[in-house]
Amino acid sequence: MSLDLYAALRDAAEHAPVGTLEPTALGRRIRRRRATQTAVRSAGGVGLAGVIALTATQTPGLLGRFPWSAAGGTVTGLPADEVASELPAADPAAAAGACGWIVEPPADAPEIELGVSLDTYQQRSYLALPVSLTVHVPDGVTLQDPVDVVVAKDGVVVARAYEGHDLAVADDPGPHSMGSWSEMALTTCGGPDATKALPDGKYTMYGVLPGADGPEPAALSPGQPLVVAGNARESWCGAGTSVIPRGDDRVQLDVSVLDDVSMSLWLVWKGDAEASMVSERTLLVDDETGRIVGDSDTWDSALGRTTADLDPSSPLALTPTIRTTSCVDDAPLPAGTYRVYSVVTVAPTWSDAGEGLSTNATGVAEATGTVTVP
Amino acid sequence: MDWQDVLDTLVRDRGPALLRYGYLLTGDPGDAQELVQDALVSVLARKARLREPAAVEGYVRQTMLSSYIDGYRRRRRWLGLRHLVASPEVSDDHRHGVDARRDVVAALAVLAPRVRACVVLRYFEDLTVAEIADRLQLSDGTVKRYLSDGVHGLERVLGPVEPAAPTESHLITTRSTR
Repeated sequence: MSLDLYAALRDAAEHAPVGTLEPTALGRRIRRRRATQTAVRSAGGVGLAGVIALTATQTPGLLGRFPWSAAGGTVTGLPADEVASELPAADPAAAAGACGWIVEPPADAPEIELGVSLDTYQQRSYLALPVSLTVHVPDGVTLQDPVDVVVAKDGVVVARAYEGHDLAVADDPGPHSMGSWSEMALTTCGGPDATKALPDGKYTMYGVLPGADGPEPAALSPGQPLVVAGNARESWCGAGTSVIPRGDDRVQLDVSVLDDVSMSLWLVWKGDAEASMVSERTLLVDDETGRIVGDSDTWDSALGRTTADLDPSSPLALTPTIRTTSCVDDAPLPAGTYRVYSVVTVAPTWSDAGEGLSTNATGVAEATGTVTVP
Repeated sequence: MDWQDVLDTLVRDRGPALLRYGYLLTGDPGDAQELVQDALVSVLARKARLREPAAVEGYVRQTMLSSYIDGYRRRRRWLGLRHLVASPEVSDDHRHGVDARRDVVAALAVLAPRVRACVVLRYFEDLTVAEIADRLQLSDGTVKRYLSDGVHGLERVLGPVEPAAPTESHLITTRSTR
């Protein structure tokens, strides 16, 4: 039987535990806002200075000070004096997830599994990096602390997300599987060049659930490789297919173009334990030039993110959408033939990681069939 | 009618409706409260000449929509995944109703903000494609695409969804899941 979406939404809204509005408190806020506006208008230049100071306080480092940068556009990087020349130093005493923390996995199998992946390309500044986090809380376990997302260089945390991902389920024991989207600053979190932009290079991103005031975390995600180029996430738009990493043998993909708007994707995880598919990325390559001209990571996040739990050797079937739009400016691609690549990121669980730090497993496949733009 | 009268009238007469609208946008009672309160404060603090509660409500709803799309996504967006596929075989009617509502809200959570906003405006607010396009400053074609994406995203969790009203019968199918 089909669902009546009109009725379903009304029913959900009617039974929503939203409480009531309290007009007295709202009235106080409005009066304060009106009074503040009047004061700012009266004070003129003083009001402007106040606004600037507030902005500097609320936006860490360089965030928001630079113009919109399309993923496919030319990323020229920042002035040298805005880029850190010295990264935060390793601090053996730093708590898990803190600036300078030397990344280490939990000694014992964690109850909670974390996964991180890169989200769509940043669109508003060079330095705000959209990231996705998945959290699996098992049956009977309660997660009470926020989960941090950090960026490490050579195993030392050098940048941190704006704020921890605070699960609002502290009193609600698992099982839960959740995903979260946020932005993190590609700026140094400490050291002599604190809040300056990260220099170009290779980094690794982690999700961290801090432990009890020590360097050992309660949970740590597999690392997600991150390449910073031009002080932003490295763009594949316009590059040759050599930028696409080699696939991990544990991720078997079978991809075929169904029509010019969708494709069939079969994924089999060949690891020993459960894992999470944390992202799926579709690339279009101009058959004539061999250059990447379409990239789902530039698609305005209109399709959301696809995540899934993976059981070893059990196939997962997806039908990702294909959009024949340019990764430079989202304009329709010119007439031609385009090859399609799928890049899937899988976060293995702790029990699949073995000794030491683990990283996400990447599955890569070129689809059978091509997309034709008439 | 001064702004305080407008506020009292809106809270009394339209508060529950605004909160329900906020809930479908955010999926969280606390976030819905915050969204509505911030919008009321924002509108009533600057719209000194607005005296009609209906007109103010329109501004409040538009502010909620903009705040949700522009701001909420940047803060955080939690979405349930595993419980989305809760078994439909529930014998108790009340529990079934509760689970169904929870599933609908959880299914909305997997949609991107603009897609979700389109779905809520179309299926809860009963707006036409043209009206949604106007509210969100999008083209009609983009709204149709978002609605199509949204319905297919919901179908992956909730199963088949009845076709939309006749005015939307030209929605295109762009993807499905086996």
